[in-house]
Amino acid sequence: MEDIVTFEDVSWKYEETQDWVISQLNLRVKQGEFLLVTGPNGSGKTTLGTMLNALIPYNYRYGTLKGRITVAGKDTAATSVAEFSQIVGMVFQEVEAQFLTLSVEDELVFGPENLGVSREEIQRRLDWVLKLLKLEGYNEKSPFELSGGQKQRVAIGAALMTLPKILVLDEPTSDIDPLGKVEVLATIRDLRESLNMTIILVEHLTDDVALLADRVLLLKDGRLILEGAPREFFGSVDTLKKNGVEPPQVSQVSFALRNKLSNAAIPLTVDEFVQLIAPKINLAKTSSKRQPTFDASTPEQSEGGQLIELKDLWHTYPDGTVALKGVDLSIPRKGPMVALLGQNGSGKTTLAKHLNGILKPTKGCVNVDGLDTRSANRKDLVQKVGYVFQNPDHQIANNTVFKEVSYGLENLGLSQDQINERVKNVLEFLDITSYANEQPFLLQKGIRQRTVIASILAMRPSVIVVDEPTTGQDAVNSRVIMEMLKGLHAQGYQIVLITHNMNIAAEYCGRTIVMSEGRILADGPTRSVFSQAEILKRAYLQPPPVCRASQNLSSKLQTDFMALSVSELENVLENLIV
Amino acid sequence: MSGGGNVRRGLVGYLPANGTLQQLSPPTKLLIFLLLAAASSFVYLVNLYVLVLIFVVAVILFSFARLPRLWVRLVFLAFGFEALGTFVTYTVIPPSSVPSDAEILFSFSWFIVTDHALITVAHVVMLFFSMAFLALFLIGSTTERDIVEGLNFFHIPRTVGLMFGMIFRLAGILFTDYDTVREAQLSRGIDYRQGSFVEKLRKFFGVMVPLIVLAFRRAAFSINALDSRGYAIRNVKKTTFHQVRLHTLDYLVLTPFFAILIVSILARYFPWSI
Amino acid sequence: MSQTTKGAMFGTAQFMMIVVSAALALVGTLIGGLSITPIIPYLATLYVGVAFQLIFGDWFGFWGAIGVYIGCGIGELYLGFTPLFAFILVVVDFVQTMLFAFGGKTIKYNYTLKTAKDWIFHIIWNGPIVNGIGGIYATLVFIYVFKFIGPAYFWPFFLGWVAGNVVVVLIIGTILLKFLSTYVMKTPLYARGYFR
Repeated sequence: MEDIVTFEDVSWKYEETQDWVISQLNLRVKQGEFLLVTGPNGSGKTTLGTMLNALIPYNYRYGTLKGRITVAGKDTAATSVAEFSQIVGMVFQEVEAQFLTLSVEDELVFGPENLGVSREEIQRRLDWVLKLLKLEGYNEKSPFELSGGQKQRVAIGAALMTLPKILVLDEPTSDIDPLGKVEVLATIRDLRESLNMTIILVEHLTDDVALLADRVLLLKDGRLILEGAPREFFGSVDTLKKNGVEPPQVSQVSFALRNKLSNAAIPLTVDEFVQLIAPKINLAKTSSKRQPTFDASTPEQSEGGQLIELKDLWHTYPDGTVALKGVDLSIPRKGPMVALLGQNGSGKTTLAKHLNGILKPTKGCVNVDGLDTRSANRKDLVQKVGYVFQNPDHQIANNTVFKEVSYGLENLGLSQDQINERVKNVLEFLDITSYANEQPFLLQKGIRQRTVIASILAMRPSVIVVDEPTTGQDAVNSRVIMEMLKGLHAQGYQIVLITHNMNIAAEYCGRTIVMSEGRILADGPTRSVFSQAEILKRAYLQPPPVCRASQNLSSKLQTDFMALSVSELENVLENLIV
Repeated sequence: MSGGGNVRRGLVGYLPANGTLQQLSPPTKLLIFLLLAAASSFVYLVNLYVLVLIFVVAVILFSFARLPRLWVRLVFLAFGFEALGTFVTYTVIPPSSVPSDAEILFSFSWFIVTDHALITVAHVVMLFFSMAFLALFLIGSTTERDIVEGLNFFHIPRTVGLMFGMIFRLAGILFTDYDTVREAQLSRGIDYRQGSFVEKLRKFFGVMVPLIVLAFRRAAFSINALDSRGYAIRNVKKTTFHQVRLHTLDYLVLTPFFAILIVSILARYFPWSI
Repeated sequence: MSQTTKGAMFGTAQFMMIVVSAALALVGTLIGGLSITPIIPYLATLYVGVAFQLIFGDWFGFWGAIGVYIGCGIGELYLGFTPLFAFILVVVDFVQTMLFAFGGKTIKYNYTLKTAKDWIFHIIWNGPIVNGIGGIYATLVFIYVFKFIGPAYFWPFFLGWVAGNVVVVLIIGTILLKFLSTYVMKTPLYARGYFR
């Protein structure tokens, strides 16, 4: 197979950066290859993707490019982006931002219209793409009204309509529920198989994608650190972790147990893992009914009475959508961190917004520490429950990080000295003191997110609701954020986490609430909720790989257990493997 | 939020999705608006009878659009205010400003009501309210896509049609973002109802600044998306996939509006009334 | 090979400059038109949209002015003006935005307002001069073309228009320029000159 993409000694820096974002990169991609590009935030993955269709250098006018990039025989520095649109299909990270029109059909036909494709041919391609991506019947719908997985499929479809030779996808699953993610990845796999298309997937969440690729690259600080076939690549667990990438959970467990597994090939999927581990379990040890080294039945206890109570809560939006249908829920003063899970549109964000009175009930009531949210004073409510929005840009409104953090406090009527002290403390806690005088809009997303968290934390609410704090974050940053939330929880803050990241929910949250179609389907200790596969499936969720692996192994172990994290599973199997 | 089946998110709120007017093809709805707007421009300050006719037709059209009552109240508030202002500026005047050919109907100090003033004010009020009802008809019966398809039908260049579509789309998203940003600031204890003028101004910034930043971030992404889909390709005749056609119903509906326009043109060039 | 690239006179970036300035101008016109804060009823209002319409001249040059013209024109249609009247009236927004652009691109004052000279230029040029020129046009149009205002009210209307706009531009516009100019200048939307 000939090379379809070559990078020869390529370096790139944006106008505003001092350092090279891509540095002396040499790379060849063969036609029909599926390449996975991974790495921590800021490693240059998205930049690499943007170079493939000449967006860099053409749309980044004042940057500096060295070296040569050739795609399908064309030099990207000498060929316009528009010409590349027939060769490279791009699916960007922010799915909604790439929608240009007002209906699914318009979105799909936009590309071939620009290229002067005949109406008949456009119709033929449209019928093909709608069928391929299971979007039949959605022609007239607005792309903004679709579910997360459907939106991604529309974005993929729009890229496919120009019949590109290469499809580049930049974190296409970052904001989708788990089963939606599986759908999108299955679509990508099917495309590869049916069209023999060259696929370049940029992703930092490696579970589920590992086995799809022919080859995996690790970028860090713009340099190529590691590359190889998936099994060999993800076998280098230490190297990956040191460079900010978390391999698939099952790979991490196997790596930890490699001595006991006779250095067998590292599994990448749950099935492979179970097939590897199951024969090696010492049934004698399990038949002694030895309990796993953690106790599945005693989660962190709740105490101090109920802080928040929702009684028969209904919420109807002005357009008639009933988002919450008779929800009953209570959150204690002290208790485990709470994960609020559900597919897009399940009502979890609506429910969370009721907790501090952003939304008022249509029916039923919400009581926050004795205050009825329908009539309570706003200032009183925000000192009980703080809400951190998913997109920090929805909240940032001031010229410096310091002013941003003090913004809410000024509305609470504190003195300037009190404000200064609280802001200083909170900036130190979140390790963003060095950014105090910087303009928040110009900072990276992770720092903007921490700024917003700081602004809420400074108000010292008893409960902090955090909406998708790890979306778009690499493994290292996700852990930093979660460890910070864990630290706050240890200090006595009650944390409610809305997330699609099942790994994070399992590892950090002792209590899980699952929602679907405006109702609560399950509410209890995370371990027991995650063992209810049917309920999770109804909510378009699936447990993390270690949970699924441990469930599959349960029958072998003759005990019901579910590991919630890599370390838990390692500890159990350490003692049970021959 | 897609909502129930009978409403849709329009530019300025939730609007009925199904109805008689919504069934007309996009160019028809656009033409109705343009024909009546043109007609009113011809008879403004020339023929009050025809202007009143246009007003009545606009009210009828508006009633088919079935808009939320709040919008009607806001319109009457805004335009009633402006109509009152027009009345004041024509009647509260120094005596030396009264036109020599005007008949004074009533006067008290600087409050001088002339026939000329009353007729002018009547024309202004009729024009304001006709256009207000027509604009509400347009909002209530057309989607942003209708406007773009309507422009395409009249062979407005594709770039212009695309531009209008993206303007409406982005403006609509900004109104949604406005709700989200407001909620985000509410979660920090910002109460928009309270505070001095300066404090309210500060709160206003708390919403406007993120809104503008969000608009720019989206627009910057859109540049890459447009280019990646071949928007800027040169020397290629672009295709228009959708072809809008007018049907018999459209021609039937448009006929009376063309008639009104013809009457208005005749009324202007063969004046016969106030 | 090392290269630094330059953009087209009217490319996708310029297209989006028009779109974003029109969308924001449209939103500003609707918010400003429907939530008017009267100083003197009908004669002077705090029309908040004008602040961020005019600063698009500094950020996007000619394309910002075109966007403002389109956005305000569409907005005025929704506010009850006939299409003819709407697009006659919003010439004032185009002209005022271009006058802002003249300050930013020809005089080249620093719109992040770093020095005293920048402030003086901004306060005098962007305040009473730009809005005075716009006020004359708008007053003449309202009185002699639209006839919405009686001719005896030339001076009250003109002074009300200018005063209302100057207050909004110098308060809201100034803060937006200081807050956001550095950010906008780092985006691909920013035009260093009138066109690119």
